Amino acid sequence: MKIGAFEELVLLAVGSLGENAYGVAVKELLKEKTGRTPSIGALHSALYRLEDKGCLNSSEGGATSERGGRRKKFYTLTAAGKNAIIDANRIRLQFSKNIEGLNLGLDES
Amino acid sequence: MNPEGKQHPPKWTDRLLQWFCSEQVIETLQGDLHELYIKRRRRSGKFRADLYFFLDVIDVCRPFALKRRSNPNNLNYDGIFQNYFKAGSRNLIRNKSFSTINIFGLAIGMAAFFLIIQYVDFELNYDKFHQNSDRIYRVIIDSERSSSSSLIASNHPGTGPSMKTDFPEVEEYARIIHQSIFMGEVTTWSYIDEPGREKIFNEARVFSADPSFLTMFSFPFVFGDPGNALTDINSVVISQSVSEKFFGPENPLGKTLTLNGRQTYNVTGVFKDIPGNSHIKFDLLISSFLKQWSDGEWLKEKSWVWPEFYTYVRLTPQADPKHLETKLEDFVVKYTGDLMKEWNFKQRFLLQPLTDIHLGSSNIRKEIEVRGSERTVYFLLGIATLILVIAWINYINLSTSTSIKRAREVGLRKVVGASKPQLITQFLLESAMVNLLAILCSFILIFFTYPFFGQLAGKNMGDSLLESSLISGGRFWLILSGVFILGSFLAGLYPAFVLSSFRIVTVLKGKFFGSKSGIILRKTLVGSQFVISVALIAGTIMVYKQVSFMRNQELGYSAEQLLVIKSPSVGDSTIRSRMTTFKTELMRNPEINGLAPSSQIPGKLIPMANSIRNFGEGTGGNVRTYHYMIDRDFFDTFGLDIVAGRNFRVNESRDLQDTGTIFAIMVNEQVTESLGYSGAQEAIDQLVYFAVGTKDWVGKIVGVVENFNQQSLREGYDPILFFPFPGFSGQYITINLNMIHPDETISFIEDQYRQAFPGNQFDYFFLDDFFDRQYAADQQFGKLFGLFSGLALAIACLGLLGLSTFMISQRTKEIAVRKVLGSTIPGMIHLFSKDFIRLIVAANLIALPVVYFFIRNWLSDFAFRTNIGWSMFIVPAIVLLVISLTTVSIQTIRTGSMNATRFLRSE
Repeated sequence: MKIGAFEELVLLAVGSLGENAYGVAVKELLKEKTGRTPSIGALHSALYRLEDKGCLNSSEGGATSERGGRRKKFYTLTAAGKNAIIDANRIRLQFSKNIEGLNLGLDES
Repeated sequence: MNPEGKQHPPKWTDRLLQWFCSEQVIETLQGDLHELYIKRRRRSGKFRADLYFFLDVIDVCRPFALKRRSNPNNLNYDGIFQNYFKAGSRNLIRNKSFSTINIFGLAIGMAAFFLIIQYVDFELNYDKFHQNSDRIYRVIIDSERSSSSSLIASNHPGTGPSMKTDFPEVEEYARIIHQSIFMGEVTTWSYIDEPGREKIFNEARVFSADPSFLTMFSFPFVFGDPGNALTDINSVVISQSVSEKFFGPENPLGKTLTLNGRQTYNVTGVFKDIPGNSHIKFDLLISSFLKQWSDGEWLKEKSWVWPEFYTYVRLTPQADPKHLETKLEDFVVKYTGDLMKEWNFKQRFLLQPLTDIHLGSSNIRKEIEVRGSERTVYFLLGIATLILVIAWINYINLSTSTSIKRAREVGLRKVVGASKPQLITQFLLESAMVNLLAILCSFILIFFTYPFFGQLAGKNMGDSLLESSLISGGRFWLILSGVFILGSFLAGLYPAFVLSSFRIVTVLKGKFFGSKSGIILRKTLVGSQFVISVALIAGTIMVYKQVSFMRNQELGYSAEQLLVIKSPSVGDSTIRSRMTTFKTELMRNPEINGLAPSSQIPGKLIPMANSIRNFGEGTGGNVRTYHYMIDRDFFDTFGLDIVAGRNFRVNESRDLQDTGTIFAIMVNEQVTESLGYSGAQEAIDQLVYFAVGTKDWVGKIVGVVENFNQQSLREGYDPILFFPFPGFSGQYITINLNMIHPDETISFIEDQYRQAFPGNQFDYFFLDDFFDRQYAADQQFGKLFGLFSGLALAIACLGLLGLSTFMISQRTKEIAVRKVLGSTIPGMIHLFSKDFIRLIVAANLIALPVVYFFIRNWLSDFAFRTNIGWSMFIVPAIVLLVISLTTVSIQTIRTGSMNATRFLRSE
């Protein structure tokens, strides 16, 4: 499964939000963790793409008055999604190890 | 803060979102956006929230969110497309005659269209092959003299150099001047090769140019360097074909050519033959005249009084030509202000873009080459479009009328579940197939007809379409795809709608008849084909009539028995006595009626012109006249009557050295009229001022000659002033033959000529051929017009044939029943052709007034014109009637003479 860097972040966010992963929540978590606000269009298009790729499942939740009575779409990580995160991490690690004098702070753990 | 309150983003942004967003996405997406909106509104207020909401809406306008046009449960259409092709091609093969008519008609139409487009493109792209063509301008003169103004293509010798020094935006200038200004239309060039043989050729396309001419323009060189080829005095650069004529295939650099047996020139360059789309065409360019005079005093004296130099300037890329043109007003006053005051005239200099010269302003005098006619170009483009339209109409007519045959197919497709858009796609695809086949056929046609077309158009457009600038410029493919797409849609759309809108039940029950509106539309279309045909036939008739009128009109002299030979240009001081001997020898031959040297001959614009006015009047009374220097035998030789006064005496001569003398002159009736005399007799012995160069002389009118056509009948009679110039005079010798044994007489003359003037090339032509050359453009126009009108008519006939065949095949049962009931074949022909006759009459009524208007307009360009006459009104109607009656009759007779029971048995 090939995923892009932004998609990887989205997967991580969905994973860590657990039951409560929907558009706005993901957006806010990403902002909190990375310090950058993803545009809502880019985020949704990534979510749809990841669902197409099989990394995410979705289910529709209940309506809230905040959203003018519109339902939320909740995402959950699939097995393929988890594998994609692992793959991406492994590639990074292998790459980073080759860089001399780069301290990833992994030795202590 | 009231979270439940009306905290909505602006309605229109929401609507925008709903407009482009697909059903599947809208709910969650809009929900998220609203949630964000409310949060933002709490935090940063309404304005910011609204703004961000809007930006977000724009931001989510991405592929995932957009509405899908097609059904989500996508079907695979490949199979059905294959089926469309199969059905389409089977249909084409089954109706062989209709398909042939369709495709062949379209192919002819397209071939004609592409050929004309090629011609139009050629005409519109004159001089664009030069690298800096957008920055090169020709400086022309707008001169105003006694309230009449005229544009002159050439300029004074001082203009170019002074513009370069005065204006920083003028990068470079170049002047070019034709040899005829110095030494006659034609010059004789010779070359002595290694074994000592002499090669002699007469050349007419000889110019003298500034060295910068070759660098300003981008004429490609074969040998030599355009940068310095004309720098030295006595250099000549020659065209490739001239080079081959003199030197064969080898490199001629450094060899010498001799001009008129006197001056020698070093060949310093060979350029590729000038392409057909250059407004200036030359074979030899010499440096001498300009080079010599630019350095000498002589040209300085003439700097502002000798408008014979075609002057081009190249501006810097940033320069604004309009601005420069306004600055030229002061420039003209600065250099020629005194002259304008003294001679009582006004002049302005204008900048004419290089690429406008060929088709631009139509009344510039002293143009180097015959100008193209913008009107002709657009006119032909119009015809090309009409031809295409006629061909498309055929397609529409034939496919809608034959649609009944396919009604069952359509019905069945609908039963199986075809939707209307699918059926439309199917028939558009068929129309595209037909158009594509037609384009392929038209390419084959073009391939074979291209060379003939080039000849017909009188243009050197390259040997094949593939070599033309149209293709290499890429414009062709644009036009081609335009024609293809437009053709497929225009011609295909209506039949597609008709075919796809059949109702299943009626079709399958077999109760299907063509709709009424369909019949009316078809009649309108056929009618408009008739209108176009009538207009084209009538136009062709009038063009032919005018051209043949001009060619057969009495010119005032019998041009067909006048043989013109070039006066010898190579010779020494004995040439005058040689001329006398030549004349006496020739006059001994009984076949020769007369012989006269003259500086001009009819059949062209006379380059020498100046003003004349009555004695005692100021320069305000100036009238323009053209100058002829003649031997006194001129009028006898040409058979022109002297209507008043007398001919020149034997020893009268024009010797302008002696001031104070009164010179004997003769004029034609046109001059006496413009000088204000009521009759020729009244003008006799009157004194006039006439100008030669910049000086006025006094002349006495001793005789008045009848008017004759100096130029084509497009122009009126020119006012002509005759000077006596006995014996030898410059350019032409005209010989009047009695044409009993022309060939023998000509070889006799040639022998005498060679004896009298060794070293000269004997060139001759008959005056009528020379005169007719002026009609070449008109004749070509007539031929092109005739050809394409014929094609249009042929395509329309094809359509008519197809339509009537089908119409009658639909009515076979009716014919059979009528026959059984006792009606005759003529009666049935009458019945079936009634509609066509009505259409033809209507078409004539519509087309003829329009054509009449156009023809009147076109004829008004000619000074001598044929009367419009009745043929234009009658012939088109007759042609169309004959054609359509023949087609309908043949079909009716064929069906009607068959055994009626064959058609009636089946039901």
